[in-house]
Amino acid sequence: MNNLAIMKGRTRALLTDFRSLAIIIIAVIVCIYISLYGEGETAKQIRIKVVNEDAGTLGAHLVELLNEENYEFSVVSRENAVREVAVNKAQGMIEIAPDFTEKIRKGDYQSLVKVTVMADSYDMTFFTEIVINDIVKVFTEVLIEGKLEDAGVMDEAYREKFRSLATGIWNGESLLDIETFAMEEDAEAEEVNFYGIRWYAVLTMFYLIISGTWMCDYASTGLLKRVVGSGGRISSLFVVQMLPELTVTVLGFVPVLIVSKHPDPGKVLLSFVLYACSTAALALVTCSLSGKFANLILSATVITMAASLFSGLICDIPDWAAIWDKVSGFLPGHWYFNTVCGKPFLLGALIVLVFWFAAGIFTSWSLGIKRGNE
Amino acid sequence: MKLFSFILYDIKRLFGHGKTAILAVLAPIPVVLMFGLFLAPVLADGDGAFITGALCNDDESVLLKMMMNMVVDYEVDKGNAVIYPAADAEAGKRMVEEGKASVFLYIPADTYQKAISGERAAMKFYYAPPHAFDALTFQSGIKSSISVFGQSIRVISAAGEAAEARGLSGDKLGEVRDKAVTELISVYLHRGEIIGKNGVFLLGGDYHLRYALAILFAACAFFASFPVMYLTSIDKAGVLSKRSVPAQKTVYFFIARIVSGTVLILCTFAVMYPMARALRQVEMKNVLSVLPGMILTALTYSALAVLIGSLFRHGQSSLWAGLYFGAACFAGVTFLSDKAGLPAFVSFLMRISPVRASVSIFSNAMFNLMAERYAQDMLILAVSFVLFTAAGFFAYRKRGAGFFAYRKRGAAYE
Repeated sequence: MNNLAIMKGRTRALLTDFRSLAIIIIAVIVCIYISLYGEGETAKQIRIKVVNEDAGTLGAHLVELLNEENYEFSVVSRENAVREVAVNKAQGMIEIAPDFTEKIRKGDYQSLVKVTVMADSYDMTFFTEIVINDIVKVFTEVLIEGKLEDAGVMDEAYREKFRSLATGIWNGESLLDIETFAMEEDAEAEEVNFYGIRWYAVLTMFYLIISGTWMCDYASTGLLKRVVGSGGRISSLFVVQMLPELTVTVLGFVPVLIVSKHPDPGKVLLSFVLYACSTAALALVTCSLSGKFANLILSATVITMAASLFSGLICDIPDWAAIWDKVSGFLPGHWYFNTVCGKPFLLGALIVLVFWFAAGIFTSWSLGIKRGNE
Repeated sequence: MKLFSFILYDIKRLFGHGKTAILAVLAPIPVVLMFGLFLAPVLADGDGAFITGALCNDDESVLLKMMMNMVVDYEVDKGNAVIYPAADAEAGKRMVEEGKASVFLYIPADTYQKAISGERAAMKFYYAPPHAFDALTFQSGIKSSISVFGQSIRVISAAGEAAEARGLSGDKLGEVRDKAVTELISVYLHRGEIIGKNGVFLLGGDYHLRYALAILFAACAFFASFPVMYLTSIDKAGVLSKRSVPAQKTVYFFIARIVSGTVLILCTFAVMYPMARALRQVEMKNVLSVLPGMILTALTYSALAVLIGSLFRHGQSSLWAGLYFGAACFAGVTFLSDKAGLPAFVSFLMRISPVRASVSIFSNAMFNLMAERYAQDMLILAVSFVLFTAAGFFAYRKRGAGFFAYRKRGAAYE
């Protein structure tokens, strides 16, 4: 078996197979974008339509307060609002009742507005709370104005002064707060982000599995069959075949790592190399078991999602699911995630590499024999 | 062979196509289970309570005591929470450590007095890490409303001070302030009623979970259509082109493939719906609105899969195309469809996207139905189905063993 010739052939095939190579190119672009801009996203871009049917003036005041919040509010007619929500030009609508001012002045707080929310955005969780809080602000102002009028100390000049005082307080910090504590020391550790380099690792796993179709192929014309038939070893074939792919993924990782501004890039790079090697071996197991591309495309998605989720690469695992932090120790992503968090990784990552390499070679060899006999 | 026989034959072929169809139907199970894993502690609380907590109120203020009692009583009565009294702060923390309570709220002495006199006052919220998900969601809701309550108290206090400077007597001021605070507390205790709902805190706090569940539904349906793409490509390059099937039969094949693909996708929904119901208490009455959405989604995705499959001569190529097309559509829906300020063309694409329409149908119809949005989404899916079917039919016949191939071989065949 001429290893150099096989590697050259594989490199050529890899660089000309744009279908799979596109995954890594997209991964680099997306992850650089996430590293640069991912944390600046806010709900400001969420569109909410306000229907102000209030006969008085307080509805307009509520709209002023809403405009200070983290959503894009705009006042439209009811028909317009329904149409905009229906055609997905807005994610929610607030209908201010015609008797909004009248009710508030009477101290009645029931059904002042109707809120319609389309649950088609991650940023809608606290939307209803925000609307209620702003209505309470309007209610509070009217309440105190009424009480001071009754006491005979409210006139137009003082009303203006009071409103500007209230606006200052609403825009300032609250004096009543809730401090939150987890009951374990380590749970208070600083949140780890670096989503760019974490999600690049996820996409790398998908790429390495999906581009490993040669590992599925046990047909008589397949590379595996020919190499094994001519006395070659699967382990050597695997190493020379995977080397170009690993090089491409590591080269793609470098710019993502640079823009992520991780404080320890050297360790992260080393850890990523070990992660990629272990993942390539995991890909060998997956491809061997899948047997054909149609199965591989389904199993690649599920395995990438499961392995990355339990390793903590896709999102932080909730504290209560600490069991997964231990159970996921056999997954390559576990040790890579540890490196991103600044925890020890080297020994674990090496053991995982050896484990998956052995498992991959054994699976490929045993299935090769089985399918060869068939 | 009649059309019905074709359909039965094709279903048998699709489901019997190795492990692929089985994988497609079963793939949602681990995906939904992974999703459910994040909600496990909430689901594991068999008593139905959202949270089990402890409370220690060291503040002697009558108004605050009254407010806390009313909030606690309301949440307990509604079955949202089980609240145990804690003798002091240490006892409360111990209850969380020992697992008797998942959260503990401590109100230090003079909290109310500090807030009303312009000093910063903070309550303390302790939670057990295993309950971080539900505890922090609950805490976020309370925090935002408590902080506005603190601001309201400050407004009342500041207005009072200014009124005193304008000659309001101390007794009168105290009376005005107490009345205002009492009325304000009453509003806080029924704040859900402001929008015509019941409840005190975190109204609608699970929208993001509904959205995630809807995306999972649509993604798994798309996922299940992969075998349809693969088999269509293979048939087009194999059976249909080489055996010179008569034109009428290719039409039967085409219809049968769309129907069998729909059945395969509906099988995925049949697996997912009970799981979604278990995870987020999807009400059974909503099944009537979800079912038409499921059927139309399945038909549309099946027609799309046949179209993609018909465009490629090789099974692998059609799968790659399906993968990229699906990834682009779902990424767009997840990250862009709710955003303002997109280029007009992208924004338009998001609005007419059948993938977005199917996600929207599930998040809308499974929980709270807005009829106008539902009708619009159904219309988008129906139009997409017609377009995909027409385009697919054209590609299927032109590049397969369809009309053109039949004419050429027709004479020899006869």
